[in-house]
Amino acid sequence: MTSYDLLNVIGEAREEYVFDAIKTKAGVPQRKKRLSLNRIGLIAAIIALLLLLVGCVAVFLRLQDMSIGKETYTENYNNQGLAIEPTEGTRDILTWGGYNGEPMQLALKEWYEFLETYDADGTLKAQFLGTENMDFPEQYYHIYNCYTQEMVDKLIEIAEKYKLKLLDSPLTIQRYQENLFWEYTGLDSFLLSETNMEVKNVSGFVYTPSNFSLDFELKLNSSNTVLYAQYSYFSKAYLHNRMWDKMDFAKVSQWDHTTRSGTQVLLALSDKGKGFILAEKDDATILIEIDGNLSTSHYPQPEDIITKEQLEQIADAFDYAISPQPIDPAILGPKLEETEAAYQAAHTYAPEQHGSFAEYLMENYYLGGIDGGQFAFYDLTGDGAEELLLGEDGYYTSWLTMQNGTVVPMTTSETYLCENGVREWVQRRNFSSFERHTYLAPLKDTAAAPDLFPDIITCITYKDSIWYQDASQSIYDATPISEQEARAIMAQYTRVKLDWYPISDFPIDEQGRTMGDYAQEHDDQPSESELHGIYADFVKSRPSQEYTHFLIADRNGDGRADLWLSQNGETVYAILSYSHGEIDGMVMLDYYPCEGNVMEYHGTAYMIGGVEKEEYAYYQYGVDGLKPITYIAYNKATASWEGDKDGTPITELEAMEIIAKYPHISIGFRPIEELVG
Amino acid sequence: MDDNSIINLYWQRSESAISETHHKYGGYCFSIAYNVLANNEDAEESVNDTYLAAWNKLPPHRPSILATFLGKITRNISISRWRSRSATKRGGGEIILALEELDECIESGQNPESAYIDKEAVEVFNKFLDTLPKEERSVFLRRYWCLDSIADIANTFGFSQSKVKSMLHRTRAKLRVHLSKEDFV
Repeated sequence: MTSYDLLNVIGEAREEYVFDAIKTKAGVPQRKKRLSLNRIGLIAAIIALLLLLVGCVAVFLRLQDMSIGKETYTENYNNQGLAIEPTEGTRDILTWGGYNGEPMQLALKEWYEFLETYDADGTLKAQFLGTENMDFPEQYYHIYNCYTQEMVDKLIEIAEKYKLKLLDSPLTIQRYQENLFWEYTGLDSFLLSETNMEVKNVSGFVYTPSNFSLDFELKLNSSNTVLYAQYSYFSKAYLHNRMWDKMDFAKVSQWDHTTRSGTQVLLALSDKGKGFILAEKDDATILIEIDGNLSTSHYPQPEDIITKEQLEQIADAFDYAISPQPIDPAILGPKLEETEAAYQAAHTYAPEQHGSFAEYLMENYYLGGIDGGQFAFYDLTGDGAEELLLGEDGYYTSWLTMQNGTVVPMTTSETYLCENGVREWVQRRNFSSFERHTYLAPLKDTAAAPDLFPDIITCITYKDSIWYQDASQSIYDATPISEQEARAIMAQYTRVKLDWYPISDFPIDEQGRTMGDYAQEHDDQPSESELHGIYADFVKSRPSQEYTHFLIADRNGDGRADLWLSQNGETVYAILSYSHGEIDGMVMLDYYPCEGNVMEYHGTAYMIGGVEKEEYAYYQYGVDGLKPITYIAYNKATASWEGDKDGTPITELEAMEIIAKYPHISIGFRPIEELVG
Repeated sequence: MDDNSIINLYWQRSESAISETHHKYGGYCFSIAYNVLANNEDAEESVNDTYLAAWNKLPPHRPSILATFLGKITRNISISRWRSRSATKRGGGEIILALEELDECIESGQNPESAYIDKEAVEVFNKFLDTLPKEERSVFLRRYWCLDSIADIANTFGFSQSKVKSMLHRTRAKLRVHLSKEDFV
């Protein structure tokens, strides 16, 4: 027996054993190159001849056809986000638009291999980043990441070798310049005329004359879903700058699809919901990338991602016959500059000028919250003129100073004044024992952006049951210290007791009128129908928010009917109040109303290193807004429950009891059309 | 489309049997052919020949597992094609490496290449497969039945390449002992 005989014997292995072996091939098995249409056509023709029928077979390329190499990578979490023993995997480096043996792929492969070994220790790059001294046209850096003349020379050499042109500096298309893109490419849309989808908010780069890469939102009208997407059009004459992606093919499904318009495309969908639509034209490649992860997690479950059928429907909606007109940068460039200038002029923030603190407060202080606010005076800057501190309970959250006869507002958060002009800035986190005390040096020069870069004397942080001290606010380089040492350091900075007064007592004129008087004069108390109209106008002025439901109700008992807005009819997006001619309130995103005027936040927290936690935070909704009650989180990495943000473990039973304690309720949201007509 | 439906298309003599086969198993057949031949054009031809052979075999045949049925045809066609090349043009596909590795299982200076498959050897080999743990068996067949590269096997099973090599080495040693006991080497 020879090895060849043995090979033949092995070929007769039991069928079920072979099947066991081959079914371990995940997804579509590897192919090295697309099958050519003419060859498959030939076999079909033979069969057709046998049948006296005419037939043809659909074939297309595979992602593997675009691979130029492999690399290993390490996975630390499984598909559920559970921490696992570090597992080594293999993924391919692939180029979009270049298949085995084609000039584009060969060129990109050569360029990739050059970069793999060039400046391996990063010395030259570090030198370049230190000086940004470019002796070559900047597009080589901005488009192809070249940072030395040697790289530029190599790039040019490769491009010439494969007869490819290099891209020139791109023109940037902002969302508000989208119409210029359509006008100058002569395109109407990326979509076919009759689809149930919309392309919105297009922005990105045009590499003249005919390459572009644009981000956009794809709205699926049937489900009111918005997917984030990117559309790239690569001319085959150019060495494109979408160099390469990394992909583990075992985690990607791919299949051929013939769209309703008759175009053959390659579709691919990763286990994370990233969808790819690849269409090949004679002179260009169209790549459409769809973020089909509908969850907020990096570890979406199968039900959280778009289905293959949905990706096919999306592919069906696009027009692959588009042929953009070449763009002349000398024409489009000035047009873009013109619209950019107009946009900036319309959106440039022009700070209002206020000649006194009173004037500033009358125009800017939220009169609906005047009852809780306090003020104090103190010469923070040491220039002999007192600043106005605004805050409550002994600390200030903002302060006003005068510069050149104009009020300059400064904001901070929970800051206490200490002796000798030192300021103690305190940071805390809900549901956590974390606290940080940052001691800031006295202000010296307020003429130039005071507090933008405050001098830190020292910083004491308590996190995860450890105290740290550091001159910066980082705990990563900080020195762990004992609690006694921490307390001793903090005791060196004695807080100054200021005289705080209600903001309503703040004098606004020489006749003795106060902010309280001013607030009373402006408390217009609209009728129910007037309030309805005010809220309706407010919603109409924000069409981009896409509210679907609303409720006008006083649910915290403060005597004011608030506007509750939702984007789905179930969760609360915002609670807004009209008071004293202004609308203000809380933007909450997605909180669930629960029994007892409790609000539940349910979302995903992303921790350092890839750990995800599914959080449930409960707040009591009252006159003072939201007050934290309790918090639990499911740590996906450890598959366990935690009772606070410090990671204190609790049992699943305890977690379930907390969730059960606050059942979601319907608060009677009504369709937004009833408000805005 | 499920396998039974595809087989039914063959039995109905529907030309779409080929396109459905290609859609579902084209890549798989191509990978086997390419592993043997290491040449795109030859591998394409082998896959085309596979479709034609399947067309001619179905009916009367009705395979219980379409994947292995097609894979076996592709494998045989591809190996035949590889052998039909002159020695200098055979190229360096996985088959070369596989044959070298399988050399470990036999004595040198054995019989010259046989043109037939010894049925007794097949039976002995399958009994050997019966003794292997499922994972080890699958890795072995992926290497010597599918002629997949070590790297691809490692990728599929989530092993390191060195682990795959080590597993294969162990299995080959066991196979050698097994074949030796049965007087095949």
